[in-house]
Amino acid sequence: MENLEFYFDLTSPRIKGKRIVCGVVGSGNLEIIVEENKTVQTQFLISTTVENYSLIWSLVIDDFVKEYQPAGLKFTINDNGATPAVVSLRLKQALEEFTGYKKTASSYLELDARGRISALTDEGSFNEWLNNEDFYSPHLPILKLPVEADDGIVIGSAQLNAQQILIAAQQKDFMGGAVGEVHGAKLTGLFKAAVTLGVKAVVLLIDSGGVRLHEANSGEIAISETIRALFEARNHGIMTLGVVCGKNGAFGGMGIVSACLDSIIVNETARIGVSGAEVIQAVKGIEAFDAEDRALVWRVYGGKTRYIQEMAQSYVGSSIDSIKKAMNTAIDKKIPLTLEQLKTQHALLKKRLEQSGSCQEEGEWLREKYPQFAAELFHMDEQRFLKAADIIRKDIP
Amino acid sequence: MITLDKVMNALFENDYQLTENNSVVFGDAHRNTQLIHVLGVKESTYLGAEQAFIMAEQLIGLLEKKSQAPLLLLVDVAGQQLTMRDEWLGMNQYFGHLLSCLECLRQQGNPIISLVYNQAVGGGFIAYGLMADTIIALPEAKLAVMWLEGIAKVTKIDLNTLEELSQTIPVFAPGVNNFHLLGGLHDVVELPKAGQALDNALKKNNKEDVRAQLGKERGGRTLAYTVINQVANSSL
Repeated sequence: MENLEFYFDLTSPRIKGKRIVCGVVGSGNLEIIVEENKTVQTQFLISTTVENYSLIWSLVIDDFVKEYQPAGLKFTINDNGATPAVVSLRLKQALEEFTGYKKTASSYLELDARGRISALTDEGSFNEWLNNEDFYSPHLPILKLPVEADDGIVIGSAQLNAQQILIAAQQKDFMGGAVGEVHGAKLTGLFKAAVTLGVKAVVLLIDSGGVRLHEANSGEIAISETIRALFEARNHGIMTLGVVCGKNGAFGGMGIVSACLDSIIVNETARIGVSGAEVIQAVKGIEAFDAEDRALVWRVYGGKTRYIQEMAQSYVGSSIDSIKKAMNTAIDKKIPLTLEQLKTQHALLKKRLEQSGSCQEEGEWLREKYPQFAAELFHMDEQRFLKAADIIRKDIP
Repeated sequence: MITLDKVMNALFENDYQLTENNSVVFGDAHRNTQLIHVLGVKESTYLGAEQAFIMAEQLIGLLEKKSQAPLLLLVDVAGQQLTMRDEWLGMNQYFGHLLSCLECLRQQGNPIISLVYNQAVGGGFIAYGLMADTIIALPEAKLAVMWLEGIAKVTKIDLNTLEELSQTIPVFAPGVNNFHLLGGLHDVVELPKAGQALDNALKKNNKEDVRAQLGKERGGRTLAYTVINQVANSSL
């Protein structure tokens, strides 16, 4: 790790605006925090994983300052090996965002956490929490790893169809959305806040491999604390909803958290489980699970399998609009934590075990139980799949 | 490795009866005439969909009976079951179901205590042991999210570096003391004193989740409590 600082005395008028965070500390990427500076100078504070490049940094930043004259601002940059071209682009984007430019949503998969929240909630309604302070992971720097100001999760309040909700989105590209001490504490706090504020729902945009092994023990305890706070919120009548439509899916502790929510929305991209295929292959060998076989991975963990099994309550396309529509419908379907409900769930899980025979994955199971769908189901488009899934789900109690 | 019988004898002398199904054990015990329900797994089981289902079934039974007696969770779990079949079956949903059952029991008013008497590893520990009101471990218990070799492999950090850091940092390395420092264990006691610890836990009847606070007080987990509170007190 190396820290660099650059200062500029600019004579142009000071630029005003609200603090913003742009970018994610993924590999080959960086985040830039822009805020008004308290002193007269324009300031750049850089923390980078790649050492001995101060000359290049100084050239890139000089160019940027010359072109945009960002007077009165402070730029905090957390870099994880971005190229000069990426740094230039990100600086420009960050300044545009600071001065009020908003990029419009395209595909959910590609959007980062903030982009996802603003695309899925009522326009302009998102109020990011801890926005003005940084809670960096205290543990990653010890392992010489880059940190991110939000520790990989963005939280706050927003409105969905004019109803008050709290929302969290995991940053898919920072440590694979994994849960560390701060990350997990933000999730726990969010559910506690939901109780105090009496909101309608808490929505989690899950995109995570589970506990962050670099802070494994704290992450595991944090998952357990989140689960307790989540149940507490449910007991107070708050709807809890998960959206698992991102590239990392919901694994490990987050796979377990997802199963504690009232309801989950998935799409074809989704994967939900505890141990990923790579882990099973690494421990038990390729005969136990060929993690390279993508079709097999999706038959085991994928969105279609999880919807047919009724682990997920909604199956959507990949557009922002279809996810939004499903969220609007889902938040009115609160599931109480009662003995009656437990017995219904128990019957579902019992039937699944009884019907499973010696099957190992959904394709095998379909060949036995629903041969008419076995060949096609994982290639069907959304409409045809939903029709087939309806027929299969009707047989489940 | 300490056997389940030895643990049960230390806590309840001969006053207990356990049934076993698929390495899941359950039954009733008495301590100073107090009825205590017992549920857990033995012999370093890998917790899978089936085991979680059997455990949930026992808890639904207790809810239907409206029993008010405390529940002791016995933890000797080597991790989650690592098979394609368990993953396909939706093991995470079986774990979620087990956790929901424990939550309903808590709501019914039953105190829930965990005793980690041997292993408590990974997802299998999250699935029930960590859900108790009070979590106790024996000093020789083995707690981990993943063993250091596994962490080194996944994080691509040199094993020697991890071993060296683990001497001074409790945050990632296995160990009872680490989990205690972080607030993940309420208490660590020798087996002869485990009964007394159980009595104390029942007397205290701690219903709040104080683990983040303990982590801060013990200096192992310094930020969690602060962040939780700051977020919990945010306004719309």
